[in-house]
Amino acid sequence: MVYAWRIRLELMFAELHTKSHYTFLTGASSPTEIVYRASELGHTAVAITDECSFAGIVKAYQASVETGIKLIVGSEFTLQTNSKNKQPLKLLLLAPSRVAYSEISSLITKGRRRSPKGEYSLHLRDLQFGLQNCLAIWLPSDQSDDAEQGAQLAQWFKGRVWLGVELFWNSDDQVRYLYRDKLSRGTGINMVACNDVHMHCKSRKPLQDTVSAIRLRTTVDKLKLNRYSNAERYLKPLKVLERQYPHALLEETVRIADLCHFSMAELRYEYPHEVVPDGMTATTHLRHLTFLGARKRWADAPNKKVPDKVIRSIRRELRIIRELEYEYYFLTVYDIVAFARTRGILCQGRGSAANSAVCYCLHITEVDPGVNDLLFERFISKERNEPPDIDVDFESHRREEVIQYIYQKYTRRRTALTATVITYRRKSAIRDVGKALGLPGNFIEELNRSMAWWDKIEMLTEQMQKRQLDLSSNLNRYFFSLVKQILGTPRHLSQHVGGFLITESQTSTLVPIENAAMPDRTIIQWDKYDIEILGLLKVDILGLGMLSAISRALQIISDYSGKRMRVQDIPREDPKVYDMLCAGDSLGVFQVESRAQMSMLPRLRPRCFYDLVIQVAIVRPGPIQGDMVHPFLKRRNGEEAVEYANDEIKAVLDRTLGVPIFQEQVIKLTMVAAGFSGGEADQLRRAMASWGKNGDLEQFRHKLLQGMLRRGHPHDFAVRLFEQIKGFGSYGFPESHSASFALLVYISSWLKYHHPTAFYAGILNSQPMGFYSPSQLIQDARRHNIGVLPACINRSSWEHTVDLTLRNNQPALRLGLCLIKGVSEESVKVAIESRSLKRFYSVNDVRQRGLFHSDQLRKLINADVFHQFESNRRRAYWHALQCDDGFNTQEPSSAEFIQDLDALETLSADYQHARGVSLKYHPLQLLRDTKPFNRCVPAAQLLSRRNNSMIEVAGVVTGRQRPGTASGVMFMTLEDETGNINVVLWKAVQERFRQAVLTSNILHVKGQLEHKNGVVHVVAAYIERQDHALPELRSKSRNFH
Amino acid sequence: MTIALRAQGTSASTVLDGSSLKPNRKQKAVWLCLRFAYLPLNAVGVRYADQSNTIITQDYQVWQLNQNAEDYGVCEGQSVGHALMLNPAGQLVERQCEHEDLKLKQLSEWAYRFTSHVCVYDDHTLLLEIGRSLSLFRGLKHLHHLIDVELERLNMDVCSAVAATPKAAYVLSNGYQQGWELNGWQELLKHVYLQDLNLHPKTTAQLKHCGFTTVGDIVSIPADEMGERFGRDALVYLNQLLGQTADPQLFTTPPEAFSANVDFAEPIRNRLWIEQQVTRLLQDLLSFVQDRQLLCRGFTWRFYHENNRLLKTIEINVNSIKLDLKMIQELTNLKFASTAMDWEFSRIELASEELFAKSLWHDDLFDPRPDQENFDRLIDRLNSRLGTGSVRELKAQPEHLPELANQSGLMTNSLVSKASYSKQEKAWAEQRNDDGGQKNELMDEPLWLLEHPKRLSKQADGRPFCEGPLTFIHGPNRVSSHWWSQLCSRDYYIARQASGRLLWVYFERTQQQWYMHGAFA
Repeated sequence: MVYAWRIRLELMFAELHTKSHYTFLTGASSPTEIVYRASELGHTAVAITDECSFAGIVKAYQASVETGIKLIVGSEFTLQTNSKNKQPLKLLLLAPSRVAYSEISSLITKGRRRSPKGEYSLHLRDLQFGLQNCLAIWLPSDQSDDAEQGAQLAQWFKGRVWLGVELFWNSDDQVRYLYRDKLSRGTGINMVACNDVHMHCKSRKPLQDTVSAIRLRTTVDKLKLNRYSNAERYLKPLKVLERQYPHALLEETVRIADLCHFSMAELRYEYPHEVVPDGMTATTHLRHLTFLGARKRWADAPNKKVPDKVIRSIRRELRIIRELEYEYYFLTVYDIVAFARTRGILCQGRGSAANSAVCYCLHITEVDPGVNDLLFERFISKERNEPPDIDVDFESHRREEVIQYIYQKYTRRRTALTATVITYRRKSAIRDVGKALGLPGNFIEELNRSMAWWDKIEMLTEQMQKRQLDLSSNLNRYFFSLVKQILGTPRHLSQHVGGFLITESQTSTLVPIENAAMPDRTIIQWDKYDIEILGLLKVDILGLGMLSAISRALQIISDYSGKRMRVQDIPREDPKVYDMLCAGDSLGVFQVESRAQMSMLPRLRPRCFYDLVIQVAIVRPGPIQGDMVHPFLKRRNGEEAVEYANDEIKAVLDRTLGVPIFQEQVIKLTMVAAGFSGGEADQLRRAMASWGKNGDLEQFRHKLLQGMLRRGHPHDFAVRLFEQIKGFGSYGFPESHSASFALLVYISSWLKYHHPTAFYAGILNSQPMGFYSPSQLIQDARRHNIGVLPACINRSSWEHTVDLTLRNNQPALRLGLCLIKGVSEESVKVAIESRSLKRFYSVNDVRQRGLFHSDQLRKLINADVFHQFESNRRRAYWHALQCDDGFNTQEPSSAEFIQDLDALETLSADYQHARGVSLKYHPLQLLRDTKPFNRCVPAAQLLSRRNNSMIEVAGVVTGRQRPGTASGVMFMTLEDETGNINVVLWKAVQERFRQAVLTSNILHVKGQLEHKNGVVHVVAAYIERQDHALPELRSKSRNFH
Repeated sequence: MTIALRAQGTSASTVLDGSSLKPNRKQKAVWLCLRFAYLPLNAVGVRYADQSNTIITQDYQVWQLNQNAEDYGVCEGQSVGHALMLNPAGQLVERQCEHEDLKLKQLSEWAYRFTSHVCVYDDHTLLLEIGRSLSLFRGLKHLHHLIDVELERLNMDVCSAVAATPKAAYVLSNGYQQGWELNGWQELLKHVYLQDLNLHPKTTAQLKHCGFTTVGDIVSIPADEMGERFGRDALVYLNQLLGQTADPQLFTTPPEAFSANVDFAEPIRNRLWIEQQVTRLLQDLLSFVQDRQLLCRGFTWRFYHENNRLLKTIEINVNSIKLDLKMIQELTNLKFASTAMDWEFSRIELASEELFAKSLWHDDLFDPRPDQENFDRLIDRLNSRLGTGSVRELKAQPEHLPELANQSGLMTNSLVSKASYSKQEKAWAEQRNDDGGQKNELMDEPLWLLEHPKRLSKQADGRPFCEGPLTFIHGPNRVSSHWWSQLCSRDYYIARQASGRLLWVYFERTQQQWYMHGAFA
């Protein structure tokens, strides 16, 4: 004890060279672990010096705030030199000040931007300029030109450079030390102790070896000299350091640490100035725009008066925004949204931002604060002290235009995408660790397959035992422990889906920028959590397929009606639209097209917009797991009484019949029933989202129960409420978000009901999106009596269009040439231009105009787009082959020996070449007269059959869904020539007919028919694979988990 | 006394076509195709119809599987994960391509007994021209029976067919011919599906797009129309298939081997009596090797009793590249001298199967090490005198643990040792050379280590004791490695005994025990 006290008094040390696991596949500890360990060991300060990276620095900063230890920001670099020995120079740069931080950040950016993703390239000469404020620690490479390099560094970093001495109990430690001492004397650079820390404790050595093996794509035993000879690259206690280094070298570390005054807290976000016009402040400008927008929003109200409730909300929100200085953020998002609107790009804010009246007035969101009860605290709260997060969806096909606008307006120097840290998940961990330990590939794969996605990692030992692996063997024990250790550790940086950081000055001075995998995309080295911690603001530019579909459908309607059709022209609360939804006819409609949603629609029977808001939110894992669906349906159908503990609770839950369905209700409930503040309630919601990962929830549980008991609520009620809200946490929707989505549900439903042809054309042109394949959508369109015309070389465009010419001015859906596999949009556009001058009159004509490459031409023939000129597509193909090698003006021979396709071959060719779309035949249509299909009931007749009767059905498998919340039940969709059949497979049936369930294209099912409220299911009892009936059919089912 | 020389094989491959296989006009070429479609399974000792549930995999995909595994719905090309989902009890075996190649090579050598015209057609098929062997094997039916029985004995699954052209035999072996029936092969050919032909996949796909599915569909198409669309290669292929164009095949040759023997009228007891015969046999071997430009890596002397009973085998390895009579005589004499030859023998045989094409070894025109040859000869002489395996060399390995870093191995010729270097080892060797000796692991450790470290006792102060107290003069060098097998965590020291002798000792940290690992010379 006395000894320890003496050490602490006399010896101080700061570790200046540490690599965390953000030096990917090299470091074996997190920045947090390093900082916490350094604090435990009593180090004065600790530097995080990941190689050419600041990716882990924010996590380290957070840990340093929590522990109180001083954090030094730095980075390690390996620089190319002109050395004859070609040995690179190793250097640490540390940031004593904000300016120095920017210098290092810029250097990292320079090195990273020059190289492909994940790499960097820097030369010694890059140090000459732009690093006037950094401190440097030189790590000599024991080469003959060390002295020369030292002299160079001493000149460039005059008085700011040290010579790092790193000793690892190797046999040459003494020689190395003496060599460095000589260098130090020769160059006049002082020596300092460093330890090249790769792990916070020695026990991480196996993990360090393992990640090295993964990085070098070998196994640990074959790493040989690429493996460190011992475990000495760890954070050492002071008494060990004292034995290893002279005191002077240890004290020098503290002197350097004392020179470093920079803290990450100094990083202040500077907003782009462009968003505020000259002569105005951000506050006044935002206020001006908000009230201007409010007047526009309520232009049609009586006396054009903005409701008082809204005015009050706006004023309150503006006050909070001003206090938290978020005006620029709102103005930046407004600027982007305004751009999109001027370009006619549909966009809509969603998530918690829809709780803001200001966002509504700025046209960022569409949830009317006059009608809906918004909870601004869900969006911004003082207690939370976190920057707001506005997610804006844009048309997916036009999102790039918005991104280019941002790059253009704010310049590439001031914008970059946020990173996403790709971490090890169970599968990748098992695979990579297994490979590194040299386990057989088959065994690893087998192990991975044996574990279901819901299994915990602890199941791994069980699975290993099942495979009779000796768990007492060193290798197997290490395998399990290493998989556990590597889980959640970062592997590389990737591009966030759409989070942009926009800054006033050059972004690289705030955070390093590197290249993303996608050409012309750059990402910053921090992810969204880092940005949150530092209080920086990002704008999420996301793409939404349904917005594209709506926009396209509206354009088509405008084109054929001759009158401009906009979203705001769609009449609200159309009962016919709700009738359609009540019948479960929602295929293709936004959000409510899944099997679960479709079967819920006839039970919930939405009759107004708010019903849609509930519909969107209720079929979610949260409410389902929290057992909220059935009580709600019973209460809605009058089968159960609605009771409230008091009026306050009634006010919160009245709209959802006493059942909490939305996140806002949870927050409000905790406020009115347990006395939580708005921020506290939101913290509870966040704690619930990460339930199981930390122990935060218990403190809220106690607080909630106590609060509710104090307010006179029964204990049972309090516990039930807590369990209920725990059930959905992050899986539940906020009401505002649900309302944003419900709006799109209504719009898409309206389009489907009133302009179905345009609706299907819009959806088909916006693929891939939604639950259904183009074939399923087209089948559905035909069942709605929409004429579907085949793709034609003289009539089709690239996209699907609405054709008014052939069906007495009735709109028909003309399939586009985009449906044909292997044909490029460019070629089609050129062909369309060519046919506008003179229509095509034969296959030879198309070929002679040289519009398509021979391969493309043959693909078009196979997809039957020349049916106008040649009904026998095989003959057309034969002729096309004739001229493959050059231009040939000869008319083709008669080729009488070529036979035309029969029905089955036609179907097969369509499936193969037109993305599974065949207008001529449905597979079941061809099989209907054969056994066992002649016994099967077509989908269209199922409703007319007696409930609970045993029936047989058959169809093409178009979807399999096995939701985690459905206790192992699988929902399968079969399609026949008359419609879709919903098949329910219990676990036992799945196991019994495992092969047929998993691999069939065509299925024959015997089972019990169940129908209720117009929803029809067949509960399967017997399943038979029928692929042999149509061996040529290769349909692709869409499978969801 | 008679001397019989039997040298197998020819030095060049033979190219023959159907038309040239006509020793007399009555005899037509008959091609037998043996398609070992389940070679990947057979190579790991599994038959298709076995009771086992075996799945052969390659690159995480199912490559082949037996009937039992197929019954679960697994098929070739599926991912291993998918296969296991369908067939959780399936036994996965990684495909062993080298094993398959070897098996096919062995089969081609086996097939040599039926005809001298054996050709490896693809990675799992043999083609045999058996027209001239039919009378020897008493007709097609008998030969069929013979081959079937033999293949059954060898545990091989085979699909076979006969036809008048090699390509026809090959495609018919894909299950189109029941039994070996030469008549009507053209008719059978018409039913062959296009995908079973060896046409370019693109050509096959195009023909299918035009509605043609079998050979019968395309034989009626005018040749000019076919040629215009699918080119000369397709036409030539079809003509060869139908026997309208010659189809030369490259036949395999069995491996080179030398064998010669001398029979004595009376049993011999003294080896000195046979010196002349030994020299003649060695001369024959030398001529055989030189005429064929081969490299001899060793030869074997066999001594037989009068009833052909093998008495003794003496093997002699040769490291030297250049073979001369004096040298192999010397090696033989050295070996004979070290062997007690106190038996009577009636026949001696000299054989060598370790013969390789000399083209594998290229002499460096500017070889900086002219002494290498002399060195190799010395090794050969030492091996002959002391016995094979007696001469060893120190081989440094890129490892941290000293016992792994300093390993000794059999002294081998430079040709073998260089060829056996892996890429990584070569890179490491280069790196070591580039380091200019600065990373010399031997700097602080003795050249030779004890085979098993010697445990040392501890003094009261915890220091090691070896014939007296030890004084540390250098260290520690900490080595901590091999946690995945047996963790070794050691602190190495150079310690001095009172006598001045320097020892290399280490403290095993996991056991808290001192060991001596070597001593400095």
